Amino acid sequence: MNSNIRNLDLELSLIIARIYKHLKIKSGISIDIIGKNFSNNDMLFFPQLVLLASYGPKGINKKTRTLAVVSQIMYLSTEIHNQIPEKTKVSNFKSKVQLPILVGDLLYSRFYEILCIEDCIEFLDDYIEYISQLNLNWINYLNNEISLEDICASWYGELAGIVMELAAKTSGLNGYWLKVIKRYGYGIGNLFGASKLGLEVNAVNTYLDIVNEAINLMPPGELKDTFSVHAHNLSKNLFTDVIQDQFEFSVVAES
Amino acid sequence: MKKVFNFNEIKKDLNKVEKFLSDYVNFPHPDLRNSSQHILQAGGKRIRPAFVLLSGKFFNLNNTDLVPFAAAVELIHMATLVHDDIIDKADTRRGKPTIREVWGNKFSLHAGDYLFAQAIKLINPQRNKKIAKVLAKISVEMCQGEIQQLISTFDTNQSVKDYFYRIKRKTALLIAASCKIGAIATNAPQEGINSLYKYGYYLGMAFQIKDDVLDMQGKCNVIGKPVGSDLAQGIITLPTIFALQTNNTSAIKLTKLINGKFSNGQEDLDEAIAIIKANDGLKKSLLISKRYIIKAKEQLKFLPECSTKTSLEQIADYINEREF
Repeated sequence: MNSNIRNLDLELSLIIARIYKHLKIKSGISIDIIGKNFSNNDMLFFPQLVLLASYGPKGINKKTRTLAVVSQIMYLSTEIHNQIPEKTKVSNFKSKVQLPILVGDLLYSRFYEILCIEDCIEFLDDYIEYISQLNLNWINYLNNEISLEDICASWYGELAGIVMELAAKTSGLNGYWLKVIKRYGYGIGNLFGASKLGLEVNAVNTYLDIVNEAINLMPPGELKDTFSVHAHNLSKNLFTDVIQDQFEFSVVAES
Repeated sequence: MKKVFNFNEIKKDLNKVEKFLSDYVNFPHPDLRNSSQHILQAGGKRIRPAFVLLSGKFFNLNNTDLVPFAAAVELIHMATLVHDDIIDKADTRRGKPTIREVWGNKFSLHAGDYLFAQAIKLINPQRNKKIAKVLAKISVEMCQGEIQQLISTFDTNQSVKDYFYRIKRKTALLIAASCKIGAIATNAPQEGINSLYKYGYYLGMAFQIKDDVLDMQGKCNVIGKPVGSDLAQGIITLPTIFALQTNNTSAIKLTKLINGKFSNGQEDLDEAIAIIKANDGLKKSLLISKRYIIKAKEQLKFLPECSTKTSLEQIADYINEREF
């Protein structure tokens, strides 16, 4: 178990190093020049999901590692673009609008380039569908046609669901497991999104229910335990004060 | 009279691209549909799709339909324009209000991202892996060029090399890629692909240098924007770099004007342009542009004799002579 954890830590470090390599531009690290600080949670969230879902017979392989890199880059791109204000002071225009637009575009293009170069083009369709739908929903949100919860689901929930499903599939899992893992990803992505967007407790509880439901659908065993621990730790990390009492996963109850 | 690109040879196909694009951007979402049609109807030179079509004419034995590829390249260009207009705070483009002016900055941002995704979809990357790779690489390079341009505004220490780094990415590579895509799609031999790519690259470099010269010497009503508008935004182009490199007092004055961000407005800008002209910044730049045109035309020697070759030669000449 310990060596597995060590291996996962090493995998994660290597993936993060690859992500930073792709973030480099002539004048430095692209996300640094826009002065945006991404927390550890921000930088690790999607790679962790990929590693977690790579539980099939093929395990963590070249393609799942690439998936971890591109998923994180895609996420960073959306995070940078989706927070550009409609209006800003003239003095802030370069740092708050101009550079973030270009850096977001760069990451978006980089994501596409990595998939092409590393022969992972089969992942592209899901992401294109995701990015199309996300931008449509943002436009609907700007028109007051949908809620912030809808944006959360479209932005974080869908991405995490896709990422985990693709990782599980690439590692050799299929059928029932794919559906359950995707559902888990959707729930956990929404939880992450809820913390980022500061959503109400009700919304958080709904997402916790989705995560719980997905875990309950898993047959007892190592995989179920691993997911339970992940969900428990993550929610503890994200919502320290909010809903811990209501949050009891099977593995916690069992222990 | 305005000279225009001679695209007669592919006029029918360009019309097909226009129709294809118009149908393709007929998105179900009304705002996305209207804004995309809006930018499409504003027109444009359609240089990039034209190069896809022309390059495809050399080796197209199987009569491959190049229209979707040509449309995809234009769609990528459109997506970048939508974002450029936010970055430049542009109110009009080609005489029409920009998308950001009508729908707002945030909408434009998402519309641009949506268009880029639709352009990738159009390429059908799983079936056209080589073309997808070319476009992916170019997209990254283009963004890097734009970032570099923004970071280096009002920076008087830029070298000619820095300038070439920027314009290669900002302009030349997409034209080169357009030529390459047309060649790849029609299964051209590797030498043909390389020659067309280099032709597009050299032509693109010449095109941008000429554009930067016209920014300072063109007539406002002909070039469609105020004279010196790039310089006013702090974009240091080749004529300015040449003038700054001159070893005389006027170069020091020019540095002061730029560092002061033209605090006296038009008066400062006019003085800066006068210094650039007096120090032969425009002449020297035009010489470089002409050299690129010669290099571009040299690449055509490696291609089979046909009417398309003549068209590509004429386009190179036109870029050299154009006034807008």
